[in-house]
Amino acid sequence: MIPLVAYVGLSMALLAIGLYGLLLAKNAIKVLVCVELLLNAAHINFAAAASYHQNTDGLVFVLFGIAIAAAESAVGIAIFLNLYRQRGTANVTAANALKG
Amino acid sequence: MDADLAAFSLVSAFTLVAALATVLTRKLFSSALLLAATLVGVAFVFLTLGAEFLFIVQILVYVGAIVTLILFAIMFTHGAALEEDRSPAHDWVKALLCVLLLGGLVLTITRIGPWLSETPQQESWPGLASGLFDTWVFPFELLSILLLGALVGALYLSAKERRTQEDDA
Repeated sequence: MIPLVAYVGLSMALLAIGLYGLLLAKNAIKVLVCVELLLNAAHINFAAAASYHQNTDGLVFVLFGIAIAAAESAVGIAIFLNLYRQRGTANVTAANALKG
Repeated sequence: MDADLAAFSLVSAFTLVAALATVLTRKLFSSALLLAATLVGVAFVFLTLGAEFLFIVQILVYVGAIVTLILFAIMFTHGAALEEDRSPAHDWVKALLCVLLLGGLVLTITRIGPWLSETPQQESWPGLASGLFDTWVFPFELLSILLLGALVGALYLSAKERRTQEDDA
């Protein structure tokens, strides 16, 4: 059988990869892609812990997380489209109107 | 090595390779498609935990809806897709930072976790529906309001700008 440490390790590796991408990304859509990777790392952890405790609450949290991720990406993409229309670029460094 | 462990190793290796490729590729469009591959890998990880419903929801919502949304966003900002080529594909300082974070996490978790070597149950989940619609029914309904609000908000954000552009023209 698969030990729990395998799931936790996979989740940690996915988190590190997603974070690296988040630090590297200049394009706003790439940032969103990397945030999805981070969320999935958390979801694996939730599901593995739920499975370990034989408690469905963790799985319900994953379902909630997926729904919130859908809402987040819809709003995020709407904002990025506006950024692209106003600045002609989807580069995150272009959003500097509030910069002091 | 039994069949379960072999299947899990295969699935997790696929997921990690796809995730690395997602992050490291310079083309935005391939990045989104590789994200879909990663999400399918994560769905199969859920399957190895016996969570078939999560598998289906992951495929339907993540791969079906969110990746499609991201692909549409790339097509709408297609001039921006060319910009990604100029951003660095690799940065050793940031990679080192992430490896350090990973090491710290591994150290912390292995120190606190005698439970890590135990195996989770790999059975189907009969109690998921009663958990969702009994214990968590109020957050579930709140979530539907959040989704509705977010989608109406997204529609408003992206439609408002078009109206003013038409006014300008």
